[in-house]
Amino acid sequence: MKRYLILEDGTVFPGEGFGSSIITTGQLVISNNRTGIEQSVTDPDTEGQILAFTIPAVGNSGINRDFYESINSQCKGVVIGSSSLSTVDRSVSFEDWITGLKIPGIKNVDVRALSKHIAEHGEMKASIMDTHDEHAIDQIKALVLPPDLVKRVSTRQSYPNPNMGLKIVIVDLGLKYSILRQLSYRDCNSIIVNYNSTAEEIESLHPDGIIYSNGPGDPKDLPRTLETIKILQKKYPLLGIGLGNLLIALANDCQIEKLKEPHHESSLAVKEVASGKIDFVNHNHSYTLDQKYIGASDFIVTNVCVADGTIEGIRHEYLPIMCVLFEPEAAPGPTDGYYVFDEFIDLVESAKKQEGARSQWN
Amino acid sequence: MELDDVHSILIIGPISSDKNVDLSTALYDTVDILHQLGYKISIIVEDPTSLLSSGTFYDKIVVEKVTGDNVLKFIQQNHPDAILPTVGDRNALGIVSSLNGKIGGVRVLGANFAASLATFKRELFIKRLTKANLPVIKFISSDDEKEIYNFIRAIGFPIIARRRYSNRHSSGWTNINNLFELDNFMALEDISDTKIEIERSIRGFSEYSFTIVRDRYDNSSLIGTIEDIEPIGVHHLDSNLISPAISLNDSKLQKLRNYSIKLVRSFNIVGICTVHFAYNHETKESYITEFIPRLSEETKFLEYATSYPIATVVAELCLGYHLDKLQLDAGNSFNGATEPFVDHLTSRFPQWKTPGQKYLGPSKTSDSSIMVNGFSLEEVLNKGVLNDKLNNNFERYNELRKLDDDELFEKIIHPTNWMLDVLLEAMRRNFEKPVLSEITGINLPYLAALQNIIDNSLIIREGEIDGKNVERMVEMGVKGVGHSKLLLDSPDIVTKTVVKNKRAVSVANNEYINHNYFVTSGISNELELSDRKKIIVRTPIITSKTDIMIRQFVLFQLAKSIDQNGLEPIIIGREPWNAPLSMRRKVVEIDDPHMEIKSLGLIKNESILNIIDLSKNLVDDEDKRVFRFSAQEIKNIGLEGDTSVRVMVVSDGKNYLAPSVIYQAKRDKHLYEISSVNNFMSAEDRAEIASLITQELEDDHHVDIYNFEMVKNHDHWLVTKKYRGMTTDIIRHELASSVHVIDTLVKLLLGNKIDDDLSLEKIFDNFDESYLLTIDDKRYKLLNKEEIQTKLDELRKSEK
Repeated sequence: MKRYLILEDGTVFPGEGFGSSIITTGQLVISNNRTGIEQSVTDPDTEGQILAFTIPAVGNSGINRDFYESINSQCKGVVIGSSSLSTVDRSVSFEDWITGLKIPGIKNVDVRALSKHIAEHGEMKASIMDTHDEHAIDQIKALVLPPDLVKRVSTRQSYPNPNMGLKIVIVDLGLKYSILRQLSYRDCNSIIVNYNSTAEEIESLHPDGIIYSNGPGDPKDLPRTLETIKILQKKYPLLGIGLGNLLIALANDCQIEKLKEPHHESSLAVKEVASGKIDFVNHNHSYTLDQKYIGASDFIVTNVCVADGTIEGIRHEYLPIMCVLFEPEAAPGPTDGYYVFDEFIDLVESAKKQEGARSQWN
Repeated sequence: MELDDVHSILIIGPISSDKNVDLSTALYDTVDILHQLGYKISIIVEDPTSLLSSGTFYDKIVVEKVTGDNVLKFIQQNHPDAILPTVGDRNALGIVSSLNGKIGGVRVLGANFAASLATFKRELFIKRLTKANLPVIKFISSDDEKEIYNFIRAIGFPIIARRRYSNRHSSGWTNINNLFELDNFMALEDISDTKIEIERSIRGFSEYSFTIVRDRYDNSSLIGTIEDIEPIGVHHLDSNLISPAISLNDSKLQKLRNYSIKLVRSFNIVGICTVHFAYNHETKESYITEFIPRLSEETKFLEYATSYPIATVVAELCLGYHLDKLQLDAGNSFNGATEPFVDHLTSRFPQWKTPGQKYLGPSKTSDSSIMVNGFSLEEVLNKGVLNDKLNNNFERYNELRKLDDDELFEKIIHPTNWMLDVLLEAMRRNFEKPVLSEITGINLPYLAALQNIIDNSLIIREGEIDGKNVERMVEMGVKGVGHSKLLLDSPDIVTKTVVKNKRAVSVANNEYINHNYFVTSGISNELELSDRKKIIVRTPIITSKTDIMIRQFVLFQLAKSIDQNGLEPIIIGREPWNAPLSMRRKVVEIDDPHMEIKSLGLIKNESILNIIDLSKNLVDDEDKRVFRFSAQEIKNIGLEGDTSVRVMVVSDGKNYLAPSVIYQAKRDKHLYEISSVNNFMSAEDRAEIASLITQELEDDHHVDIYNFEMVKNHDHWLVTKKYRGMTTDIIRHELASSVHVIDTLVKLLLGNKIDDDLSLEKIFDNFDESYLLTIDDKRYKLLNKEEIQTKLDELRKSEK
């Protein structure tokens, strides 16, 4: 069935529909992920987004249920160039999988032209529809994307990911399961809480450290979370990932800005400033930290993107706070960034040692 | 930063062999960057013509057999600071491993002793990998029956086995699937005087290769991945290859990536390494089967697929540069820290010189290869291995159709280079895909893609295409002259034929913009042209090693000359040209397996000044601008002699130049050829040859290249053969002569005239420092003037 991907500015990309036949609208994001369609489609970061994958022959490698990053799919639509009709591991085919998830998809789209268009004109809203006319474009323009993306993906109720190690509270802003997997490998006894949990609520869990997770949307839409960070950061070691990083920076009077060329790529080089070591890690962010403000703050830049010099990681000079804008848990992408979790565990442990006698929870 | 103690480098060049992979572009890029960075370069090669025109970059060229002894001799005499074996194919690594402990403080760049040795010695390879906790196929070499049975009990069947005799020879590998077969194998011969080698059989596993670059600060980057459509059991370079490896999901890809980096680190390889894997998708077992710590066919393929300047990067990494602080030209910084990401598929499919079916096995049989790009599996299959224009698939189809099911099944069991055609036929007969996949080891998505091709009736037969399925056809890469026009005329059609840039897409790739394009389907064109007038060069299909050399050389010279004369070179061909990096950024290259760019009308007709046609058999129209470049015989009187000369002539229609003369003498069953012999000819000979040329060209009034063969008959010269166009001599003529034949030709095409003052005499008197002597077309020597004179005198004396 012929369908159309229509952009907010009126540009039309024709293609062939698959998956759900509903009309869908969302923020169009170009993903240069090499692998991990399953992770991307189920990543809570993609809430409210239409994902356009630039890889060819999507789905050739099969669909792996172990790769889900949340229980349900999050994205509003998928756009691809070509798909494979069968899979290497004889699992369900990509198109059948998308149909099962009830996501609308469109294939045989000139994704190269699409990604070039977005690179030139910036990220915008888009819709997958059956017709393309003036009316359709007006509809897209009129649509206001909901500001409560985090609310939609964050857990409503706290839940544990039990183990016998350090007690880590994770504030779920759109948590990817792979973060939990990494913590499990490190024996962390984690509790995942709603993004709007108060400082008291979190403190009552007696954590050794707190992680502010990745998530979708604009951090400025989360004023309550910001306030909580301001209180908690003086008491506990913090790790901010992605959106969590942006929030922690904002809580410390830094500013953020939209990237001209957003980073949505599963393997992009990041350099550790201190050692010059280069790691390839997964990036999925449209915002970055404003260099001017970071310079004036108590944060030290720890990682930068090799390609465009964007800040990718910061650390507080005095407090046990570390942040990365990239996704250290990979999923998908190279595993070079796993060390971030080790460093955080070290940070928590040394903070715990310093705390030592003062704590009632040894 | 870079290694302080390295100033002079000896490059171990390629040996002269048909089996070698052509790395001339990589060699050119390597030398180019080293030269620009100020290093003193020497090279040892067997065939100096393979150095193309990069001769001026070298400080010293040694033409000798590329062996350990000769390299050692050079090192002892010239004391280079380092040797670089990465462009010298497998032989160079052998030399490196043989030099262990003999070259003192001379550094080995790129591949160290241990890494080189481990590529040859299986036991060492297994030992080192096992120590590094890397997956390697279990192997035993023993003469103890009990030990062997215990080993097999531990690893289980199937296995492969062979006997290694005391004289170091061995039998071929035998497949053994059960105890019965094993008992038979063991009972064959008395076990005492031979060793039996046994390995777990990985036949039917999928094959992947990962290429890693690493700097000396331990930063590694995965440059690209390749997968073989055919499983293990068929030689990697006889398989149809696809890049990137699309059948690996995230965890598999990262696992193999991590293994590759671990291997490179464990051998401390600084530079490049391609690691080969066998992967079983059912059991999720993976094994490292080999690694190649040098530039190779894989790196050439990846450089083409991703546009990442591999050869240049590797040369700099070897010299200690930081991965993110490289230079493409001296002074221009370049970030190499990127894992190139492409949004298209690139396929390499092998070519055989002779038509017909070839059984495929673990040894390489193919002669060359063609690469194509596309956005889907169907597209690359249709453009490449199923492209009737390149592979005669229609004939294959007709032949296979005649077979009965049993005969067809036989062909499925024993893989040939017709495998995909056989599978197409089998699926037309409703053989089941999972069964076919099981037997052939070809993964299901490829079979599904073939099925898709059949379902849409878009097999190579052109007659089946009409307006209805034309849209699908374009998406699948089946195209032909005329169809593109049909598409352009149909505005309602989703996709149309367009030209896309072949570069990697990523935030990180903005630095290496190139002008390489391919014809595909889509909604927008990306072809960017300058407003300079254009000369289009149409390239030929490669069928032999000589073709590759000629093509690389001629295209490079043509492109350089067109560019230097203020025009824009556009290289269009069914088979891509791997231009050296410095040129890649100046020319527009369009890969066009269906030759349809013309019907797209993207290049304004009036901006095209000339079309230089190097293709040997492409039919062409009446376009007056087309200049046929490849040789056509226009005279052959069938006379041969023991002494002859070959002269190349460039004519502007009135005057001509004869830049060099090749002397050829057959003596005692050997064929001697000397370039630039014009400097040693008598005045009478010159005058006679000149008058013969004038006579021959009397009636030709076009700008053209001619080649004459003249035989000495009763003390007089006689024109025995005359060709219009370029022959394979071009490299020798061009290298030997101080006049650039190709550049002169381009200038003449632009309307310049050969100056009346520029007489033959003047041209003949070019004085080169060294001259090339070729013996039997395969042994080469560089001699100075005196040496050549002595050789010539000797040859002339024996003239009959």
